[in-house]
Amino acid sequence: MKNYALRKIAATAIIIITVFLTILALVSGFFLRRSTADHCREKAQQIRELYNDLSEYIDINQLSSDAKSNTYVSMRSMFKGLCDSYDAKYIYIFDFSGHQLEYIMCVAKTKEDDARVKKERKLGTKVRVEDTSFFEEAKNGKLSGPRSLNNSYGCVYSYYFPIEDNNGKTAAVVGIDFDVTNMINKADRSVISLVIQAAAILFSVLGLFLFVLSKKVFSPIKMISTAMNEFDPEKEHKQLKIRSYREIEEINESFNKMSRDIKGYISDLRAMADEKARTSAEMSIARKIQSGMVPEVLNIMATNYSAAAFAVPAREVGGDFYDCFETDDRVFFVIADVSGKGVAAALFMAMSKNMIKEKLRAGLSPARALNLTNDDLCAENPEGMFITVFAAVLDKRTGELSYANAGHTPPVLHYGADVRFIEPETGIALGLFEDSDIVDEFLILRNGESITVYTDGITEAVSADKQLFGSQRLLEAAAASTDKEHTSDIVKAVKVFTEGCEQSDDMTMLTLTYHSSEQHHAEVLPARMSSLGAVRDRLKELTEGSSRKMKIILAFEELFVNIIEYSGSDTVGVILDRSGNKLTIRLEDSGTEFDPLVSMPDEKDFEDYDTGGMGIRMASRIALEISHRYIGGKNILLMTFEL
Amino acid sequence: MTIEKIFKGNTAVFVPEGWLDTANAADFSAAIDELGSDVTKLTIDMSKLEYIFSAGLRLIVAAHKKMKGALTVTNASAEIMDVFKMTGFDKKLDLK
Repeated sequence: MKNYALRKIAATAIIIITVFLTILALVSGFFLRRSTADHCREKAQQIRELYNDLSEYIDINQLSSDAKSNTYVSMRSMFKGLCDSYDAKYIYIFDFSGHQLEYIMCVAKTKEDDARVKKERKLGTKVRVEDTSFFEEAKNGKLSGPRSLNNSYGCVYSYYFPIEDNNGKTAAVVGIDFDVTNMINKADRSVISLVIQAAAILFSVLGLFLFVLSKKVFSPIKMISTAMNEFDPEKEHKQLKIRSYREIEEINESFNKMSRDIKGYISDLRAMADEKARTSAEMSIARKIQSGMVPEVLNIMATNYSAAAFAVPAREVGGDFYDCFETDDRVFFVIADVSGKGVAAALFMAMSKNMIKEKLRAGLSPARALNLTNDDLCAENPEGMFITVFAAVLDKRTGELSYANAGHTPPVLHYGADVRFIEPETGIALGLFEDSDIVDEFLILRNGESITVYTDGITEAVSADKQLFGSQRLLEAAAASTDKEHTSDIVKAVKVFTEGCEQSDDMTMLTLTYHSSEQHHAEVLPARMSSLGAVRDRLKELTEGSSRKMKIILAFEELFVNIIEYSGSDTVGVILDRSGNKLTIRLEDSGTEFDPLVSMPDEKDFEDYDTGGMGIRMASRIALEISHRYIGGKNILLMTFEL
Repeated sequence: MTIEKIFKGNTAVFVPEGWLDTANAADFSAAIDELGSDVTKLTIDMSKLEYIFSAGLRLIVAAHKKMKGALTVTNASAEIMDVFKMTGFDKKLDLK
């Protein structure tokens, strides 16, 4: 059975009331009986005093000697009078010795009784009594009693007091019996009546109390609890109107407020969930767009190069990117890492990627492209984001890789068993300062040589025991890779290293391998006329079958001789490359900066030809294209010829 | 470089062989310098010349000045003629 408060209160109240009534009955019964006893005792005391007043005229010894004497008869009638006036049932005089009781006289109130005791308790009648304690007490001079006797005849209280003979010696005991049956019954009735009245009042009060409690407290609570159970945030909440005590009304108001709040929270939560779903869908689209811009895996096998790349953002969208595209003779590749992660980084990345790409496509050198991109980014960068970039251009004909670094990680060069970092100028990340001053550098890739660029998500990949992958492991993984494109083997090494760890940063990597054409010659020669013969022979071989063979040789020699005679360089780097119907010649010296095309003399008259300087003009006429660059302390002349 | 030199009275004929390039220019230059004042006409027979470079062109101009215009160039190959055309020499030189 459930422990309902109302029942519990009722049960407890009933128990308390019952106990109270019981105590009331006992206490009132006790006091009523006691007052009965006191009343009887008072009468006994009065009888004793009356007797004591008369005692000097009574010789007790005379009484106990003859029942027919005048004294005995007159005593008996006096006692009979006392019986009547004090409403005592019996008065009797006796002596006792041990348990033996010997009557001297006995009178009774009623005529029948008196006639009976006159015979049955006449002088000298002996009766055996078990309990003589009251008699002993009386013999000691006290008024003892009440001795209560309760039997089928009714209830009797007996009192005893001693009487003395003329010598002042206790000679006998007077016993007085009061019939208290009526008094006791009356007392009991009044106790019962008192208890019944008290019970009636208390239970009425309890009933009223419980009724009010139920009506004003429990039934509103029950209504509120039902409403709480039935509360459904989906449905309109019916607000309860409760008229009760302030506290109950407050509970109801609190519940009404709480239900309104819950409905509010649920609708907010729903809106948030919808928002989250929408954001998630948008992020998924963003990721698709980004993987369109930066494919997660890239594999290119082209005529003079191959490239492999992969990109794994740490979140849906990332700030890393790589780019790889080509124009006629050049392959461009860029790798970059935007500060931060997520959407902001992805937006900045998209913007930067296009800026760099557009500039490289327009033919700007990597450094120029990055410096201009820096200007653009500084102008539109309220969040102060920045980006590290490594941008490079591979000339497919010569293998020349010119590059510029804007604070990015150093690339790895890989040629056969030789694996090493190149150490480009550090540069400064783009977007930070307006004067980035990034410089161009270059190196010549040999046939089969590759360069691997990556973001710090690779070198800073963290293993389960909190170790960084680091550049040494990167070199080792590159050296151990058997795949032609090292990317996939390095990525595998990183994945094994970080086994069981969440990817903390975007990871991006790109490897580009140069494959020179079959008719390709590259060597570095001493800057002497004697070097010319062997190179001319190679050039003859490469231009074999062309009607323009001699002109090409002329152009080459004019420029080659010019370097030997005027540059002051000790060596000349020569690259000859024949691809299809095009011949490319690249000459590199470490002399003072000198652009022969700028210092080329104007068209001369025939007569002035002997002053020289016309070789370069002739060469520039023969060449399809000719250009000079000065990078990293090197003059680079690049010429292409139609065969 | 081998230069065959034929003298007939006041006329000289030079027949250079091979490449008239920077390396060989000194030899050809010396041959011109050696010409005495008695030689008033010079013919350069290019039948044995494989190719001519700017250094060679310079020497032809020098020879043209020394001969005061009395310079004839003969038997130039098509490739050498291309070089002359490219430099405008074909308009100034007496080509046969």
